[in-house]
Amino acid sequence: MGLSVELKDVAVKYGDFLALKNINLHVEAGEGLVLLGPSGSGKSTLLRAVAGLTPVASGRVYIGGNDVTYLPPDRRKISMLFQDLALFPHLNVFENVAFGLRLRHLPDEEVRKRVVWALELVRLDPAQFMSRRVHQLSGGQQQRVALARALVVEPEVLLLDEPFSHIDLDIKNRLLGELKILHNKLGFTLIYVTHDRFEAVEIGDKVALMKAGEIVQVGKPVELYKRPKNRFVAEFFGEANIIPASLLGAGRGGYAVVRPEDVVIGNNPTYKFRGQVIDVTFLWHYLKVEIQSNGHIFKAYLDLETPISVGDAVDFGFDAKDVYLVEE
Amino acid sequence: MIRRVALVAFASVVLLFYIPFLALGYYVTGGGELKMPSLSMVTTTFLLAALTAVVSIAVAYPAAYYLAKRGSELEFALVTAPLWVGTLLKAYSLLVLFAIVKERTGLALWGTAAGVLLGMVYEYVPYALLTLYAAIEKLSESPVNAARVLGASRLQAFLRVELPLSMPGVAAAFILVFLFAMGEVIMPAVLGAWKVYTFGSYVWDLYFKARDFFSGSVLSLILAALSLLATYMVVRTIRSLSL
Repeated sequence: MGLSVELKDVAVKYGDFLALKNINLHVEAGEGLVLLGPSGSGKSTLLRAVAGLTPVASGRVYIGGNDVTYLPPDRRKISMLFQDLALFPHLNVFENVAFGLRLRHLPDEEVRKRVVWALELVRLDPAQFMSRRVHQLSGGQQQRVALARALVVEPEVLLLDEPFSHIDLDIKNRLLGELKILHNKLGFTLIYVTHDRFEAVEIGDKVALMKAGEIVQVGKPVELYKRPKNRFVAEFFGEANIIPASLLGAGRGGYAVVRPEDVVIGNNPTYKFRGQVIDVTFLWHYLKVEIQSNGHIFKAYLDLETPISVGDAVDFGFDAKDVYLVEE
Repeated sequence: MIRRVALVAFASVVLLFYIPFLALGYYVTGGGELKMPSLSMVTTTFLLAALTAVVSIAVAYPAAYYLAKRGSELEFALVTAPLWVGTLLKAYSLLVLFAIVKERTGLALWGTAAGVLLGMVYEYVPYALLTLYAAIEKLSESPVNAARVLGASRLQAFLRVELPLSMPGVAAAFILVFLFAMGEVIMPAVLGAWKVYTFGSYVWDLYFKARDFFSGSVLSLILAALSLLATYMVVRTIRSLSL
């Protein structure tokens, strides 16, 4: 199950505005890829180009090795979850979910069986919800209906455009967990758009970080985190201390990236600084501490028991092995 | 709140326009005798009005759809241009057109129900168009996109999603055109040559030819009541079909 998705030199234009430029991307069959980026970076446009909802100006789109660049959305073997859900307000839950099946002219008995299967898949009790109107449902329930509707047609590729951006954090986390389980169980290829890096690592085997219509870096989350291609990746994908490399005597311009969890107090690290603590925040499993030094504010994640408070003058630093240099 | 406003509006219409005429008519005719219209006249009026509404909507829908999706301001202005011309003027210009059609093809439209229908559709299409435009224009794109990715062709997405979602607009357009058409006088008079005789024409004749203000005012009230009832039933039906 699942088909690979590939984009070659894809560009998308809205009038004169180049929304996507020179996109090259390969998603393996059954893989989960997250398109991550700030708003306006083109990630939704990229998803719509895969779905066939936005025409590409140049380049090619392949699904399962077949060129689908000029195929309409209904012939691409995909399914999609929209940011505003796009449930059909004139149909009840059953008919919403059955929509794609009706189009395939399946017999009523089969439609019913599959709708029940899909509703159970997303943990909605069919008996209780089938005949409800969609506006009678809570936000989380509507999400589940939308997901059931997308999954019931057994898509080879499931596209999700920030589907959980408008719901409570708790429900969002639960739905993300369930989506991941469904992804593993059903084996479809998944492309998930979000601006939230926490969601991104929750769902993605791979992350493609986008900026201004281009993919800046693609890789496993740990690759982006440990070996960011540039400053933007380092900052957007996790918290980072970014200081001019010259400050560490590492000549040749560029910047040094140090993750807050690698910053230590005392202990004779390779690079030593002295500064003043300006903020301490309790964050459940660590303390987030901000230290001002040499005109920079350093972030450090410290053990909860660390005896430190605002105003303290501290010696701190980090080891050479924890420093990653980027050009720009 | 809205219910109270509606009731007040309706009551004031009745009080201001019908009751005085009713009283005046009763006085003038000295007790008066109510001259009921024939059943065939009532049927003609209803059918003509309903047909006018249906045909106007059928003609206006594609145009409204186009304008809502990608129409320019100029196209919008041009399509609604017939609104700038008075009804009487439209009726007489159509009369000229009918004469030309008859001379070229031998097809007689003047004095026929088809001719009157044509005139009334010409008159009311812009109203249907404006109403439908407002309804279609505010439809979101995303249910259509959702239908497309679920396997619907462009046509299927329209028939199964957009059309049902625009039904409130269709209902509104129907009410508007149907109510106007029920009381229509000019088109049946000019284009129907008094051969297509409607309720509106009858009331007109009662007032201005027979000077029977009593029957005229009572019958306009009945016409208003019948229109209201018909509208209520139609809207209920259309609503049950969609939202």
